[in-house]
Amino acid sequence: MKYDEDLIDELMRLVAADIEIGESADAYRGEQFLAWLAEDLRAGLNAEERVKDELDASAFGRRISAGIAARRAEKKLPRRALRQRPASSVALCSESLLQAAREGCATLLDLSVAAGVGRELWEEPCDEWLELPDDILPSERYLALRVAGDSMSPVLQPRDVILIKLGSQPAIDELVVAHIPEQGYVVKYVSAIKENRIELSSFNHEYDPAAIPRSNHAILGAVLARFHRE
Amino acid sequence: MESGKGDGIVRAGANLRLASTRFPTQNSLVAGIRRGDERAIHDLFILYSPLLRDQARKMSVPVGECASLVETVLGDVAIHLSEVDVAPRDLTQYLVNALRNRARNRHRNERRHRAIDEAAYGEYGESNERIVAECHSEYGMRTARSIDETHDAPLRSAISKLALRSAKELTRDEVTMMVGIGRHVPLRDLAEQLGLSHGAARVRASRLRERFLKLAMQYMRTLEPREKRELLRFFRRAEIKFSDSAEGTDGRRGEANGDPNSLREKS
Repeated sequence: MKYDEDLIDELMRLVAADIEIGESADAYRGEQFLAWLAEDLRAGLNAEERVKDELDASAFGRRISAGIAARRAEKKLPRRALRQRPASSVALCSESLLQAAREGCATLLDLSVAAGVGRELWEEPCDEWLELPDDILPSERYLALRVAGDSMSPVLQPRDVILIKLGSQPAIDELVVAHIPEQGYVVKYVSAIKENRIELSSFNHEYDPAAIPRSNHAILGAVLARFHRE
Repeated sequence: MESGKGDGIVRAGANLRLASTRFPTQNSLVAGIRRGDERAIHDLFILYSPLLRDQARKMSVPVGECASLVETVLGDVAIHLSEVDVAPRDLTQYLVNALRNRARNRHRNERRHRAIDEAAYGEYGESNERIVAECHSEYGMRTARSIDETHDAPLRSAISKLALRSAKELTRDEVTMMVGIGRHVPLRDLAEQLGLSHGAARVRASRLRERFLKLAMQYMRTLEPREKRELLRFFRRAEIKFSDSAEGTDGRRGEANGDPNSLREKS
């Protein structure tokens, strides 16, 4: 039978396009074929489309990665009710830790004050304590900090309080309070641990990630619990 | 079928080579996504967004919304993978199916909203302003069109029926080849996909055309006259001549269409 192959191909093209969107399209959905199709379509992009895809992919990677970390943090750190009280006596932070632990509390500081340039956390006077819940045994290594800013939103909102364990070793996806020379003390999550540096990111993808040297003094501690004013 | 390392899950496409230097296999890419690795999620977007955008366009998603739909689907899949222990057997198929489901839901919601809007316009109200509102509504525009415009083009429905039949009758390889030919894929590439030599692929393509043609003509007897007319036009342009009875368009005289012998070749 002789016929115009191009026209039959054109009819096949129309039918194939319909098969692709139909419910019964499983017939051609071999993984290998689809994977090849994906590669072929990518190869067909022009330079402008490639640049756009690259930019979109970078923003997408950062946003979704932060989203995944936030969901994990939400599960790992259930939100607790905030109970605070005046300290029995006003003292420097370094002196207050042991005293607060003896009374079932943790010393409470404002992270925004602690983040002030040129000020050391231990030199801050402390007049507030966080009352620890029954399932957290008091320790002089616990310190409570009031969050400032929305870089860790939606997991941490401004005025939320976090309890940190001083001197913990950082792990991937863990929330930590770190000292960044230009910014002071900040709460971030650990997105990567390299040979000589630790990469810190925010849940709010509008904030840029930061890197700190992998030294003993860079990380103040890891977040154990979060508290929210009811 | 090969075993996906690392997650203890068997996946057919697990070790399929990917065009990514950091994540050379589907297995490693999925493992990276499950860790929440930003670079793996970046590569997921780079590797699959062109295919998903293409699928979205085929599913009649408006061009301006394809990119955001694809981004939503990829994001949901990445988050889902990071939270469950079971990984998809074949990542590409999984992504395509996820997008198709989303596009179908989108169309369904759109139809529902349109039906609600139109029902509201169809109700007789007391206010004179209703007439003004109706004149400016999409519903008003559509009802003002001629009847012919509101009907599907006959070729569209003929193609849809033929597509359903072809998907059922043709083998998987034949449909793959048909999709490839439809996408203007070079025969050499198609041969590679199907594990054939170039010569064998050429023979297969030729056989496929014959088989498809036969199938189309067999199927013509079940089409409505106006649909049949459209396909006949196609065949006529392809220089395939029909006997007079085959060209019947009243739905009774066209019985001979099912018989490929009713064709008269043009030398």
